[in-house]
Amino acid sequence: MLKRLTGSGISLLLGAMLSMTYHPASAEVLVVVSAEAPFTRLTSSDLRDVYLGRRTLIVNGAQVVPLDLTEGTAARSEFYTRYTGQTPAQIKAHWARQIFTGRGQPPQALANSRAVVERLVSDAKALGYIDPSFLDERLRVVTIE
Amino acid sequence: MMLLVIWGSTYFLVNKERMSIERQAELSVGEITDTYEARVVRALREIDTTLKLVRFTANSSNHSSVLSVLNEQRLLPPALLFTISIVDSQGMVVETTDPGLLGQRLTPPAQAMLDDDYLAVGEKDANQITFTRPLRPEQESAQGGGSGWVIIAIDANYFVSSYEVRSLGQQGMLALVGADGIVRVRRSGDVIHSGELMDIGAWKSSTLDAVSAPFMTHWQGVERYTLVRELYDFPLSIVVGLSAQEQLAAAHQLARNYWQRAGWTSGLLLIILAILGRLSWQLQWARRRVMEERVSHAQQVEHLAFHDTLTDLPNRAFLSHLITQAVKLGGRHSESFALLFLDLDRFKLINDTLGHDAGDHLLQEAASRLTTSVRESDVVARLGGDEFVILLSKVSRRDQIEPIAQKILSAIREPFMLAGQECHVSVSIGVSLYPFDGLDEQTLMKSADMAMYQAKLLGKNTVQFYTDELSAEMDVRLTLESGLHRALVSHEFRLFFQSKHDVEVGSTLGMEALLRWQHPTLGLLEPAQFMPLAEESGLAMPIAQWVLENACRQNMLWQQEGFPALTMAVKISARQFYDNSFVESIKEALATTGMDPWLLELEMTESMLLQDVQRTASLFAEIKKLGVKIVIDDFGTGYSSLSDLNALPVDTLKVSSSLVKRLSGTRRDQQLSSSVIELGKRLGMQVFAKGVASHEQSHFIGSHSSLPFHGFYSNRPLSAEESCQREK
Repeated sequence: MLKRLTGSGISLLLGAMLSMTYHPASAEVLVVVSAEAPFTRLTSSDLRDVYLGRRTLIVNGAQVVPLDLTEGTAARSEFYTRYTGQTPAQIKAHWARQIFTGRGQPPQALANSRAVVERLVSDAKALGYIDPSFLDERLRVVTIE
Repeated sequence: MMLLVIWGSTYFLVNKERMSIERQAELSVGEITDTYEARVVRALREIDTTLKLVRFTANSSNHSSVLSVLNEQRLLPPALLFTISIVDSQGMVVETTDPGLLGQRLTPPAQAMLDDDYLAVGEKDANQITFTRPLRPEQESAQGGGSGWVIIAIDANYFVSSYEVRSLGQQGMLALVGADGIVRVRRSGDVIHSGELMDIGAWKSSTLDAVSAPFMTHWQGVERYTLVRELYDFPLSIVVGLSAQEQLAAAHQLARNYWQRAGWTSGLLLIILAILGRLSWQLQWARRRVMEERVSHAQQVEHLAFHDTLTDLPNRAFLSHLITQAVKLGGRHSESFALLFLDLDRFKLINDTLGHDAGDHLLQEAASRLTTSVRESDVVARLGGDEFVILLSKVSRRDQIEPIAQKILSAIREPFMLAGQECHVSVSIGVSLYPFDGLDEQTLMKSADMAMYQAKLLGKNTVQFYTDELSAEMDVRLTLESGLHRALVSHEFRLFFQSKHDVEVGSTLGMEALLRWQHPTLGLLEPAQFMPLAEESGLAMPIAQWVLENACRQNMLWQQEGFPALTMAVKISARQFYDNSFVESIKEALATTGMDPWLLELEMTESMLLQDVQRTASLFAEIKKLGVKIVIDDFGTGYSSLSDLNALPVDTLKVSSSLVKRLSGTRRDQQLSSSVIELGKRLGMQVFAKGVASHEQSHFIGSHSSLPFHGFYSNRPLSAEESCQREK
């Protein structure tokens, strides 16, 4: 709504400001995509929906495949706490329910950020979060609005 | 009635609601169970499929990293919830999706040891349920578990994650129970339990159709609508329960609302009824009061209509009614009664001198004395004024009435205290008796009235009974009374004359005029017969005036006929004497007839003059101024006050005839008479003898010149013509 009211220019500026406010905190986790990915920004609600399995299609109709880290990694709990507002235990309960009731499957979990990076590079549709230290030029940081 | 309807329908509604909710709960349990069963079965199939897939892959490839290969192919369930491990025959973990388990020892379940191809469900693991299959189900593993097992451990929450508080509440239940009765996992609200023992066998046997028909269980203090389903192909049962208390809470709330509403409605209804009742009661009360007021008003009006306001005694109208009643009763039962007609003797005087208040007080006091003097059954009534009537019932003889009458007389004779002074009053009573003195009210009243009048005439303070003679007298009285008015106009009065003679030669000195009434039917009447009546009816003065004038006129006529001038004596009554116009009337008579005043002699009795000596003196003075003479009549009979008499300018004394008679009696009598005559003479008055009837007697007086008379009166009254003849 805000976007529609102010026009794209202002929204860009706003977006930049918002991402700047997020950057200091995302020192431990970054949401990233392949450099070839067709999008570089996501709304936080889109991101949450994608990771909680509520939707799979976003941004110009392009499919996004979320990638997860295995349980117990620091980046994982940081990511879920920050972007979904839920603890890992809650996320677990959420997926238990989703799976049991047949409504969906959790994102594919990879053992570490490196595996995520490798996967992102090979798959333009993939979306992931990594420890910032694994960020390289093949990836692009997704701005979360 | 209304309350019965309200409470009845409330009970019906509450019951219906409760039943509907129970049915709803049962349906709900059924639906939830169906869904839950399907999900559990699917989950178990997936698990079993995974186990079989791992076993197949492991057996066929003999690869050491079976799980990672499968994981890469995304053939394994998410590691987030499912931990898949391959253990060797010793239970050592060979490969696992949870790196933390590597190299640890896992104990496969007992069943898994026995049966070669059996999905064994772990008994009791902390928050986990394990499913195990042997790695080699083929014949070579006859010993069982010779080459190890594939084990999947799943977070127990997984199997109850479909619990929705919205439909199952905080006290509902989703549970997975092993065939051994041990609860693998149970969720109620947000709390998850495991390891409990649930006797589902007993529950199932207690109901005919435990699969589809929910039944009530009471387990760990909670009542639930429960369904138990044994899963096909798996050694597990699911148990679904809905808390009766929670499900019925709404119904209870609703019921409470209904009961409350019924209560309010009933209360309102009762209040309305109470208000209506009160209003109607008030209306009735007001009506009754109006009626009572009307009745009491009517009674009051009736009382006023039939009672005297002053004394509260029955009035004339009521008395009349009572007498009529008594007459009727008397006629029927031949009972006699008496009427006493009472009149207070000096009431008018008291009323005039002491005032009306004193008069009223006297009447009230008299009324109460009368009432106490007679029997309770007798009636005392007031006719008005000072007239009372007493109705004595059941008396027939005079000797019965006499004592009562005497009692009344003495009661009234007691002094009254009026206006601060003691007054003596008496009463005159006339009595008439039914049926002797009259057969109707009017006659009886008239008879009693007549008797009372007679009592008055007889000197008051006395009782008089009605007699037929009385009636006759009364008739005469009435005849006279009515005739009197006419008499003056139709010249029925006559004057008769007695002559006055000189004692020595016997020549006529004067005349005395005497009044007579020539009544058309009763004949010649003397004044005593009609003058009291005339006084009562106010005719006394006109008659007296007529006498005075006509006497003078007659005297003048005689003089015109040539007779010598004679004195003319006229009797004056007390009433006439004390009348204010007395002197004026004399002047008028003299003026109209032209008679010389010194010829006129006014005769008065001694007692009359002495009533008010001063007044008499002043009147005499005026009379003397006119030149008219004054004569004392009947001297020597009554009481004489010689000093008073001496002070008055009296010209002549007429010695009473009784005294004259004594002159021919004993010596003592003669002396008395002589002394009296002598006394008059000495006082300087002319003394004449009265009542000399015969010529002999007059001669006797004349011949005895020693007697001190100036002259005498002839005894026989003559008419004017006869007198004229005689004088010739």
